[in-house]
Amino acid sequence: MNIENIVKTLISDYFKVEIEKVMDVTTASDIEGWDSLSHTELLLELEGKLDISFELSDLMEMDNVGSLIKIIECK
Amino acid sequence: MQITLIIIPYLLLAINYLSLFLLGIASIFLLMRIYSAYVYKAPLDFSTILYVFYIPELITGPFRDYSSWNNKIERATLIATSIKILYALIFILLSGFIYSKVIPFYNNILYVSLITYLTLYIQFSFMSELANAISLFLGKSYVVNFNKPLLATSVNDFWTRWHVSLGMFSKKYINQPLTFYLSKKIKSKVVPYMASILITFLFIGLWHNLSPNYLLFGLYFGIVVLLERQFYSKVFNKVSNYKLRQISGILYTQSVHLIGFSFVTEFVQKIIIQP
Repeated sequence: MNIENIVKTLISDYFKVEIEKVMDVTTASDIEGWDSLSHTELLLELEGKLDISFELSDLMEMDNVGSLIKIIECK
Repeated sequence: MQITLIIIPYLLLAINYLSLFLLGIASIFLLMRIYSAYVYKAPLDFSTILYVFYIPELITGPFRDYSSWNNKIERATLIATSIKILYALIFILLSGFIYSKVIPFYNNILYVSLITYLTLYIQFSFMSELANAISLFLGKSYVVNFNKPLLATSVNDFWTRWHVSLGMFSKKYINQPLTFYLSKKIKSKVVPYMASILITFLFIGLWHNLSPNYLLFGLYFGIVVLLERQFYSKVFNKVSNYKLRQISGILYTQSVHLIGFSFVTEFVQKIIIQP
């Protein structure tokens, strides 16, 4: 599975939304329950799953799902 | 590098208070834009300098994130822009005029707060519209700053609708990185979340003015948001009728907000434009 699928599947499972609704332009405010706590949990899970580590500057550049995928791909 | 990114927003507040004499209210928007450009590692060129000193949004905002600075859109026509500016000015001046005539009749703090709050909403939202009208004319994208805040069904929801661009800045550059940073340091779920919510709301409070009133304002909303996360759905989900749930949510939100707003009414009264 590629990174895009892993990220989108994880978001879809975590927030219990259909995967078709998780698009590149989707932002946290588009999905119910996506607050700072769930955002942190999601990123920590991604770190463990993909064996990567996010910098704080990465977090500040995450504007939507697409930018999250791009940041991971650059790791 | 990591810790610097977290500390900088608070340094911005400190620098803002120091620079108020030189740059007035514009300094905080200027500093926020410098920070955004810094995070995105913007090149030190003409475009970035233009972004930092972008005059239409310097006095009253809205805050424009660097990530959207280079988005090009079709420019609005001069006639459409003029109409929007005129429309905004009429509403700003008319609401100020009505405010100056109505307010002397009220002494009760809650009535005064309610009238001041509604006037602030009208004036502030139309000032954002005015800035946006100029931006659209210059080919810059629209920045949402108000999204029907009077229809918010929770205080948490309210802060995603009122002064949206400040909320976005606080969430993106303070709340989320701080929650993430503290979660890694403290290895707990609840403590980092609670601490970062409180710190973020203290930032939002002190962003407006360095005073005990705004400190209380920030703390009050931070605590309310934390309580909401714990109890909101338990209380409001008991109301089975959707419309009734929405209406009770709106009434609850505006009441809670009015109490919080009353802490700073005296300060806000000074910034209401009264022709």
